[in-house]
Amino acid sequence: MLKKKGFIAISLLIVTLMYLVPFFILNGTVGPQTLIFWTLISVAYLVIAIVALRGGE
Amino acid sequence: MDATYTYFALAIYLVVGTAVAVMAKRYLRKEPRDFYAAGGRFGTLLASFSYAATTYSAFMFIGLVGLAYAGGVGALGFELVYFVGTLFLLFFLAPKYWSLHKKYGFYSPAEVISERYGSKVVGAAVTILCLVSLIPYASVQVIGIAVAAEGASGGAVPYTLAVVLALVMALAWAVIAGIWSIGWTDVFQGLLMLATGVIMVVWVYQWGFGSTGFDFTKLGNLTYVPNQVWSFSYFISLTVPWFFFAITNPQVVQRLFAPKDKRALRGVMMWFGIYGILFTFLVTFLGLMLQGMSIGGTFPMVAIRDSVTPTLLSIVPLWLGMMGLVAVIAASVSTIDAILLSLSCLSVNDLLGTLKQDVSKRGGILVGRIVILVLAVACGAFAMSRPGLIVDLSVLSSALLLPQVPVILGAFLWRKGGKLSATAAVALGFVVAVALYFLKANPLNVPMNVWTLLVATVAYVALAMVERQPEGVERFLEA
Repeated sequence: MLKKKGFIAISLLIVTLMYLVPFFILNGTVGPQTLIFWTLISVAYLVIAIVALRGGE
Repeated sequence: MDATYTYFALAIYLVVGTAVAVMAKRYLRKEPRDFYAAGGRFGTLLASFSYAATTYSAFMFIGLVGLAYAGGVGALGFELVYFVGTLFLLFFLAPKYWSLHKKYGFYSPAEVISERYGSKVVGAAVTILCLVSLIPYASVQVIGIAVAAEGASGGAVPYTLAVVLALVMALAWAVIAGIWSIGWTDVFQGLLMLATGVIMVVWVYQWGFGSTGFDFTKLGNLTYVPNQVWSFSYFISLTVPWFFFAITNPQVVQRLFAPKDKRALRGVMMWFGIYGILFTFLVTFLGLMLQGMSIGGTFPMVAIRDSVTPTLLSIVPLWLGMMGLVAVIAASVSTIDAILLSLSCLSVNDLLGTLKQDVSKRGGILVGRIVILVLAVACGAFAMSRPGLIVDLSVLSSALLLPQVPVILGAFLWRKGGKLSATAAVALGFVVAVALYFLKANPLNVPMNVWTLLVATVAYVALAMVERQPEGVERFLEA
């Protein structure tokens, strides 16, 4: 079961990455990299959230 | 698509939706708690689709498609920050709202705040803030329908008439049985929105790239951020109010009272997550594909981003155009009726209820229905002035709602804070938001929405440190 503090830490990390990676690491990269990054990290977060929710049962 | 088919699509939608709304009336028990929050009797299906359809609006089908078309992949990031923020906030706060409803019968978000801070003045301040802030957002939904109907019919359906039709639908479905008619029509509308999104994306892909495939790199600087639309500052400015949307918008907060048990509440979060991520990809991918087709010369170059979807609807085959138009209407009506209902609830419960304590249950519902009518007229008047772009108006609404953030988070997570700190945060934050918006100012190059949040938070924390806390705070911390 994911603990609440762990979920907060993961959430903050993911939100920070959603801002920093596209604007400061992938900036200027023509291609699907930014789209793929945002897609994968959001899907990963959804999976983590579902696991955390089910863990709370 | 000519006017006859546009009216036909509207008529089908109106008849089916009204039939669903009337059918839903048999579930309604004539008391405000049931009219506004289903008396906590929604199962997973109703609660989940109602949450998703209320959240996703004309902003998606018109605004976000246009934003992706004009600004590229940044639109996806913007909407996904909202998505992640919503899941995060729901994870912690949805169980608290739900539990407070079950234990104490709260059915208005402002009522929760009033009780926590020990004064109805706080709830009244939040209500006034919501009334002022949500008029633009509700109007956006009306504008979305009018723009889509006007565009899809090549101008044959007048903007004014489309505004009136949109309001009549939203009004009828909100008044018939409150959240019950809204919830059931949301199921029908939510399914329609998702199905149309899938069909539209598949059809456009086949039409534009069926033989060649979609070469994403041809979008050039639209494939990355920052670009000519998305600076880092602009991205922050849009995402900050959107991140907190799930707790600052009363129409979605109110949905958290409705699930009948914990299982249904978890279902809301899970199904909203799956629905939301799918819908976000579909909508932004549609905008990106259409830009790719414009570059390739197979779709007209559209200068005004809110016109991208209406232009598409006027080009696609008749059946798809009608389906797309109905989906835009569904997305809009499912949001505007929820906003009208929620604002009516706040007005009756947290404004009128503060001034006049002895309103009967039936009287409360009647006044609520009258308030819905008045608000609908106000939204219509605002929409008639064609005030601006859909994304900008939507974000403006959420920006004006931002001062609630420290007050709401503090209500559940911090022992300190009372009526003075909460009211001051709402009032000061609102003044700063309005002032910076009209001055178009971003002091020290910090986006105006960040300033709003900062000022409200500093005011709240500073005053909370010296203010005596009200009684009963533990109920909210332990909920």
